[in-house]
Amino acid sequence: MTSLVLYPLAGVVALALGLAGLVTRPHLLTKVLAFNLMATGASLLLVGLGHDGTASSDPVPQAMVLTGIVVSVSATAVALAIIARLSRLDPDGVERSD
Amino acid sequence: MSLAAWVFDGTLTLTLVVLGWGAVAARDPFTGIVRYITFGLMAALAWARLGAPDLALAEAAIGAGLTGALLLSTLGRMGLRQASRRAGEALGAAPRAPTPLPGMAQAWSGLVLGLSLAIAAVIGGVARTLHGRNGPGLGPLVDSLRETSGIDSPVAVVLLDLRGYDTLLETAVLFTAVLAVWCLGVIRFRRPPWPVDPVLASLARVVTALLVLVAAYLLQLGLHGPGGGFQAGAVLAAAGVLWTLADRRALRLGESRLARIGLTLGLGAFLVAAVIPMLAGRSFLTYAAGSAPAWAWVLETFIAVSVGLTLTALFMGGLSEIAEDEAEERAP
Amino acid sequence: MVVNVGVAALMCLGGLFFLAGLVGLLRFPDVYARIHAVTKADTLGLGLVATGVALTQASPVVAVKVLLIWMLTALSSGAAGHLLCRAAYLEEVDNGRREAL
Repeated sequence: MTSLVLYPLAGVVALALGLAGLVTRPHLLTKVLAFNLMATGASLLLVGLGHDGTASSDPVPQAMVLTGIVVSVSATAVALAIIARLSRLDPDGVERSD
Repeated sequence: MSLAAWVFDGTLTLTLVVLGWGAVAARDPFTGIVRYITFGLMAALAWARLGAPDLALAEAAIGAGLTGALLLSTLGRMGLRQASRRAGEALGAAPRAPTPLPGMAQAWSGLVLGLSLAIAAVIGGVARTLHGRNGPGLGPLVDSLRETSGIDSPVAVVLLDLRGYDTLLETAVLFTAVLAVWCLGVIRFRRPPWPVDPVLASLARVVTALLVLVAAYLLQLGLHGPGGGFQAGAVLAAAGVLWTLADRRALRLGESRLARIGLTLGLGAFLVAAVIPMLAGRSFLTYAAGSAPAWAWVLETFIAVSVGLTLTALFMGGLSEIAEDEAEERAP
Repeated sequence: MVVNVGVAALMCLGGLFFLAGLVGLLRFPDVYARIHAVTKADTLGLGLVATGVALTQASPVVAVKVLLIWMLTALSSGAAGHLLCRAAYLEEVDNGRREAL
């Protein structure tokens, strides 16, 4: 067991923290941050599991995570545009969305 | 492995977890965003450690850099609106008191956090067990595909050959995101009362030339090693973001016909690459034998251009811009 | 052997400069002083670390590339420090806490 096994574990913890933050924090921008944290945690889990300690790691999870990073930035951009529009219509609704 | 590796990896993963929690648990969103950007840079280090340099480049440029810029830009836009509203409140109406957080909500928060950690631990444990039971993964398949198709880099051969369909859909997602952001209406920037910063303007000029050079380098390197179309596109988007910050009126992405065509280049090139084999009698997105490297080079170039324009358009956040005083006159 | 010791010494010295920048970031009273400390100390620390890395490379082309990275970082961090200070100054002028120069 090499020290690289710490990374999928950190990914699991980041996934859990992101989910908890997404559910409990009221500010919409913090929810977007939590969603991105979940995405990075899941990516760490994917690539970390594809690693068996040697130099060559499985390239298929790497390509999937690369696609995932680009897709999550697109989703974040659309979510932020919606939040910006929402804050124009209802400035307090962004802070206290519960 | 060695003690040094354990110390380094332990410190990095601990930093990752602490920064991630700090980003989400921060009192005000600005602190959270700054911590998230730092988290993204630490994640780029983690990718480098896990032997994924393409991911390190993409995470640093897109995950930390562009996402952080998007978040800060949105926070700035929200702040302007709230500042003007509070100024209006000071003149007339009574301010709304913030609702206090009741004790039950804190208990629920703890329960949700605990449940989340438990679920995540179960998922992680099951995944780890399954991986231990299975074999070497898809590495040998990718190696054989590298020889038959002629593309050298394993990540590039997965992105463009083995899972080319996923990358086609990814370009469609990027295109749809720009359409969605443009559908949300025009964006109004307040004209700042001070002139454009000369340092920023000259930095934008100098660094843009360097960024285009680096993007071209990453593009041509991508077929043999780390790099590729998406990382090159992210570097071009950095140049675009810099121009947007230096002089907002310089880039009119929504109105220029050339820019609109450029936004469709990635998806369009992929669709052409997918349909031409069908006309030749093969199936969707199946390259002719030996033509894969040529297709890969063409697709990566078009992806780089369209990703750069798309990410810049996403950062600009809207179709065009009107100074705020004009917008108030026009609004009903 | 001498090169290894030199490289380790350069990297440790660079790390010390990063630590100095961190102490400045935490302890200085003013936002301008903090930006000044971080920008200067971190750029110098990065230069030392980059020199150490460049000495370990087998090919001189890669060593020159590493030093180019340092110069590019120096350029961008200097510009970023200026922009941050300017934004802080202009916000203070807007709030009325400071007279315009």
